[in-house]
Amino acid sequence: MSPKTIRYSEKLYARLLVLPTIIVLIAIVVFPLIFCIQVSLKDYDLRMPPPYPFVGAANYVKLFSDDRFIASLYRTFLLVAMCTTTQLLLGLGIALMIYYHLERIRKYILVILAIPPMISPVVVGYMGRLIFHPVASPVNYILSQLGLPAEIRWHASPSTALLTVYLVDTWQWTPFIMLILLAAILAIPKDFVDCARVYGASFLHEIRYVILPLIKPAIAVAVLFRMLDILRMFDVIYVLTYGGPGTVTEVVTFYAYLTSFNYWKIGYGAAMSWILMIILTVICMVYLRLLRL
Amino acid sequence: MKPLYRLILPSTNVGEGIMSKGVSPKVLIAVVAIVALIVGIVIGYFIPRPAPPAPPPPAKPPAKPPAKPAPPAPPVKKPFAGIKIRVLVHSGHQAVPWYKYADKIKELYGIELEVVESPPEEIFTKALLGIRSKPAKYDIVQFNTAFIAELAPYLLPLDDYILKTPGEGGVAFGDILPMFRYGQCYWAGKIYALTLDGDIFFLYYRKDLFENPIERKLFKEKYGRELEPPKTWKELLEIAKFFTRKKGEKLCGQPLKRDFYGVVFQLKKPRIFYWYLFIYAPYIAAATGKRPHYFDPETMKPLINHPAAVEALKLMKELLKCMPPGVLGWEWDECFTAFMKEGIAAMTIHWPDEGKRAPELAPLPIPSPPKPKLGVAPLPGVIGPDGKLYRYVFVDTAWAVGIAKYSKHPDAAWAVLSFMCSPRWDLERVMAPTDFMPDTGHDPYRFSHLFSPRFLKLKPWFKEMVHAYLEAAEEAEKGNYFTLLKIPGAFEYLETLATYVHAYLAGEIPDAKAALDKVAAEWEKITEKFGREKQKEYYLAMWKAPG
Repeated sequence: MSPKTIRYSEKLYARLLVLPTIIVLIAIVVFPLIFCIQVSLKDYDLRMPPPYPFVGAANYVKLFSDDRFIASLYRTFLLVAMCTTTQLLLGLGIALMIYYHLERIRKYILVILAIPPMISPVVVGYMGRLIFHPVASPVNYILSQLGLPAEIRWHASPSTALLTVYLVDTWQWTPFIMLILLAAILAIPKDFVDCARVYGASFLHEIRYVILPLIKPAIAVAVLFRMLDILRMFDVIYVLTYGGPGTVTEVVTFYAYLTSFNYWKIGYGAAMSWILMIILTVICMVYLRLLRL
Repeated sequence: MKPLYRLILPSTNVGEGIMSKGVSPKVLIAVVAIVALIVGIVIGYFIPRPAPPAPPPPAKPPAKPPAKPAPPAPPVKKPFAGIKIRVLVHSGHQAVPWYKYADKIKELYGIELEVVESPPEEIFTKALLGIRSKPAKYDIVQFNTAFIAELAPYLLPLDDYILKTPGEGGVAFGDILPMFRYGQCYWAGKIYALTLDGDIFFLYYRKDLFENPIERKLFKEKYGRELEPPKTWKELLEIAKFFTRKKGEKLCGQPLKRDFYGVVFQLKKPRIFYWYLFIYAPYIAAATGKRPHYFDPETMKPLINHPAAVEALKLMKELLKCMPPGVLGWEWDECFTAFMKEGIAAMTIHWPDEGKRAPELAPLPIPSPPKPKLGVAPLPGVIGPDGKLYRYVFVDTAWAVGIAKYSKHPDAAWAVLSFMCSPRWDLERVMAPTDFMPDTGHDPYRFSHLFSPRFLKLKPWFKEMVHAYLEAAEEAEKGNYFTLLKIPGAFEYLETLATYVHAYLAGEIPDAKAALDKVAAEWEKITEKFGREKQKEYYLAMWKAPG
């Protein structure tokens, strides 16, 4: 056999071995996606008897005149902006603090800080309900001990409900960003930092010109993960506020859930999910292009 | 050594031919493996399955009901031996009795019971899709009767079984309390479901507080009447205001150890509509002089933004001032805890759980509290312009159970259902938790439950509830009951109501009329979507009297 024949044969062999995986992937990933597109193009309302009429892009068009959807989209982006910014700044701060000042007890701190991201969001939602309980909130107690206003109703008040969701999410996910950034900082060769110090770099210069540029990819990944997670946030809101009071904490995923599984308008809910998915994809592409990753 | 492919393809011309075209042995093995896999799958899919054992012909009900229906004797033979009945039930504690009785059902009828659990939020979708297919995926489904309109076309009317089976198959339909019979089992005049869980709402109040002489004296001085459980919503508001006191103020002549509230409701968004509808129903009835309605039955125009409905919502906001702060975020557990476990409220409106668990009532938060005592009363009403008291029993749609129309074994399914819903066995369910039956979450729904000596011996405090149940039954028999909406889109109507009522109470929408106008506009859209005439038909069917 010629070398060319062998190469061809090996390639074919490799492809054949991968084929079952591709078939399974098509069955469990591609098929539901296509089915979801198909459903989103129909007036698929479970409360109506089948068959469900094809309505083309009507569900998509309707979305843009649905005030509740637009408001939920706005809230979703507001949460993304608030949570990602805070969690990045806090996570970076904690990672730097551990790197510079808490080296000796690092492993103990890491164990503790790794707990929140490991907890199920449903449990976190219930914890949030207790911690920010409108009457018996330990947070209010601490605020009162500090002489601060302590009559906050947290998730039961329209003015503070979204803030409560933001605080709960920040509590859970800041350590996640911190862990990624700390791992990246620890991977920087010591020589780089030492070299900067020898050349008289101040503490801020060291961070600005040595650490931050070197951990930029890690920051990008951490922020991307969090953005996508927050855009898909559901469990905490379901347990903590159920989208209320009124609709002040209703995000897109929650509204899509209500539409699909409470109103049974599956087609409309599917269209909503696709819009969210398109937004997610565009964000990812723009973000990765901007960062040249 | 011979390569493996040589064993499969010994040196034949075919094999050499393939090899000469450059296909390696590895490729051959992979091809053979994949072909074998595909063939296996195809054969596995198309191979004829062993047919289930043919069911014996079901016992035909007699053409005429016997003159004297004898109590059903336990079947000697196993009439449905080998039949499998699949039942879709609410997951968790509500599924317990199905497992518990599975052996007994097998022993009596030879039926193998397969229990499929589903979380409550998914049960409608599963039930609908499951019973719509032919043959039905589930023979029996548990469902919330709010969805009866959507499910009814695929459910088997049970009238024939009840009318023609000796002893009604043991279900003693007439023994079911009227509010559940009319509010849950009937749809468009036919019986589609049997009650599993007797959910109804009561007003609970602290009898120890209402009977306290100091409080009674103070109340009489302030309002010029005796302190009694409220009969109207205005009275309830007055009493709630009277009892709302800060920590350190006096209650029963003693300083309060913590803030105390007149009333507590469960006002988190998903289920707030109940508490609004408790007030709405008598208000709208008093204003229109008819039984309460969601829509004008003639035109299907919503009544939800009627001036009386606005008044009801404003009263609800007034009541909010007499409730613990943050109550808009409270679900069942917070409401129960505040009233029963912490004892920080004078009144509440809730399901029968408080009554079933009366001994758990906490003492009042004062240094020397009297012995805790729970009182129960019907929901308040409204005095109309005609001077009449409009007061309604509020029946929750709650959990019922029905048989799929396309079930392969409807008679066997009836055997299971009539066993589960027979007074003999369902008493155990509603008495739970007991040594025999772990907690099921099912509340009483029969006359025989209320008067069961066993039940009352086991839970003597329930005697207090019996009177309230009987009063409710009497009112329901007169037609003075109001039930949750049961037309297509019921949940969307109610969820919309919940959203805007919550938004108004939370201050997101400042005006009660504006909030209810939004609800009405949304309701109109939903009605239009389903078709006004069709919805009207369903709406009338919802209230249609049996027969």
